[in-house]
Amino acid sequence: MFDFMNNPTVALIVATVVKGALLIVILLTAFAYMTLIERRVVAKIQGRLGPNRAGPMGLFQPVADALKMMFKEQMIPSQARAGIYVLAPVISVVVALCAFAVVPIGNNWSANSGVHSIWDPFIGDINVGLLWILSISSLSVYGIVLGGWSSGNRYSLLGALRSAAQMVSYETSLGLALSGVLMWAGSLSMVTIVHRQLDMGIWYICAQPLGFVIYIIAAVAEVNRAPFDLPEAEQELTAGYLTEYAGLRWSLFQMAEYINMITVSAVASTLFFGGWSLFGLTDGIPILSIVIFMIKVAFFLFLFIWLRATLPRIRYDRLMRFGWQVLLPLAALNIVITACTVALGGDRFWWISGVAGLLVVVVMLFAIRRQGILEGTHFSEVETGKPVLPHSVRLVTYEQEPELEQDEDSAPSVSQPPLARNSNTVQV
Amino acid sequence: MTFEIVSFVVLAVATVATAIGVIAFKNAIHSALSLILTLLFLALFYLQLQAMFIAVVQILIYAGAIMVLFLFVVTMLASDQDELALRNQIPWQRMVGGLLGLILVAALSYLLFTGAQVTGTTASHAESLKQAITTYQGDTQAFGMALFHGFLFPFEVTSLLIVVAILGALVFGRRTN
Amino acid sequence: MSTPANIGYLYAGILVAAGFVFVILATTVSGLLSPHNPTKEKLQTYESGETPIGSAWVQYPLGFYIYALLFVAFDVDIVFVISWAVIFKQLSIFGFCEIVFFIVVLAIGLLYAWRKGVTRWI
Repeated sequence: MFDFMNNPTVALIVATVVKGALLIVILLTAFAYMTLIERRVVAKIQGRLGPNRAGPMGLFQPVADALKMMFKEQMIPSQARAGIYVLAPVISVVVALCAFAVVPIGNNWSANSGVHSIWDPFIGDINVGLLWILSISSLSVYGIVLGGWSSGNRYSLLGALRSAAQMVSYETSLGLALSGVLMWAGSLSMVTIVHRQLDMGIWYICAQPLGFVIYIIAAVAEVNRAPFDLPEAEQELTAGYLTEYAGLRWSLFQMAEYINMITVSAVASTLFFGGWSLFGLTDGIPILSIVIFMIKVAFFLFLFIWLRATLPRIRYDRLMRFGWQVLLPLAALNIVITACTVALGGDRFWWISGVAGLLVVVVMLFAIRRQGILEGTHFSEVETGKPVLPHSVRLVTYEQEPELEQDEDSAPSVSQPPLARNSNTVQV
Repeated sequence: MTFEIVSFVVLAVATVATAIGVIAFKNAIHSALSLILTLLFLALFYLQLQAMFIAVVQILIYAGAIMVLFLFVVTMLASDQDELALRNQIPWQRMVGGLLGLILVAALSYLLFTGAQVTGTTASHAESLKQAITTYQGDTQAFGMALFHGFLFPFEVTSLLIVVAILGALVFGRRTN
Repeated sequence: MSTPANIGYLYAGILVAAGFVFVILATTVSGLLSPHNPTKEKLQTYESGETPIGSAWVQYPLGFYIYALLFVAFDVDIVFVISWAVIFKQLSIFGFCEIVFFIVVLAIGLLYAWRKGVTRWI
């Protein structure tokens, strides 16, 4: 009956289709339960209960949410450009799903790096794996910009522009931070990177603490999560590019955001935490490696939730300045440190770049703390000497009357109530 | 073989269609989207030539960075100007454009039908690239090797070029803000 | 078909197709299930209760555009640095000098700009 599986080409296509479908199902399930876990965890941190009525401990809440979304009206605002308005969330989701393809979820089924099977737990081990993820995730800007533009709403468009500018700003630091890992691994293939860590006997976090810190900060900004969720800053922009979206299309955008979050966590655990490996524990049992990998990813996902519940949102101009003036030079510094260490003597001296990186992280934390105390909450000064908000924070460019402009612009920031920032934007 | 020919024809038709779309659409956003599709299809061409690295870089830089720039321009300018699009800004522009296009087509078809010979330094570079690909498994490594051994001076000049670009953007940014 | 590049082609195609199938399926099912009852007020642009005046497509501050401009330059940078990083161990000290020169040129340029106060707007 399965004669056609003897043809290697056909078998490969069948295997890839099955694995792709399985991956999509897994990612969507993870997305659904991430929303529930996020609401429960944030509620716990804030001393509330969270959704606990549907099923035991609220376990059926995602199902109820999904059903509710299916039955919601799909409307297109009268100002919107209908075609692109409908297309934008689709682009977001498809791009988010594609990026995950090259991440190895577990060890080879044979538990032997030399023996491959078409059913190994990753969709593709292509030799430009990491660049694939970078390039595909750079496409995710389109969903947001097009969604914001086509909505015909000022909040949406401004939110989309902010979001896109933020994403491109942090993508530079992200790419440079990853090149430190590449220097040690000497390969872009995610599978090979895990094996190199096994060969070397350490996780790359030990050799690349600075690179990891830069990566995780840039990643949070890249997926538009708190404290960098500027595009969705309710007080300033209602819901950013999501303002005009409702029902299923809105949840498609949410889905893309959560899947991007999962991808980013998976990349972090693969590059810096040894992927599916755990001190040789998973050597004989491939299925255990999948469990280990999921635990690592879950840790990072929890970190995202934790950050959201703990940190207040950063003002937009500071966010951009932090990305370009702090993170980017640090990423360049990380490259120099790593290059010196690798040139010095290769794998044996990994601890030099580890210690140097940790030192830089500590110094950076102190410097930021000090600057925060010195600078306080003053507005940034421009050349006129008058304290005003920079252009990127203003809603529209006013033609005249700088006096009025200043009043209107500084009003939203000043009047932000300190306790009003717990968003309900993730309730699906 | 047949698979390659079929997919090439499909891709070629799609690429040409989206490229025509870039100039045919009256709405600037639609043109930009069409251009993004064209660039993605080009990446697929590279994939078909088994140049994974170039394909991914094509997506990263052209579809990911440059087109974001284009899209920014289109979205930030007041874009209810569909009716403006058809007005000729420069006299003779269509005629000159058509003439230049004809010259391009003529030059390309001349090369295509006479079978251009790759000679001299280009040929030796191509040869060294081929060797690099067989020596280092993976085309990123091969690209890096070829770049850092054969094209060292252009690479360092590129760094100057990038600095100039960044400085230009910074100065421009100060003017606008 | 057994060459790596063609396999990559396959992954991309299959995942894009699967993603589109999923999204179209979900939207269609939802379209069949959900009510369709648009009213003028419902379709109006949401501006926190105010009636929107004019079009949303006005000109926005050009600052965002500059970030994209900077990003293009740095993105090219990233590609060079990454293609250098993966073969750094094979290039040894020679490659080290190359990238140091590359980064120093970049750093001098940016330092000059910073001293001149060009970066103050970021």
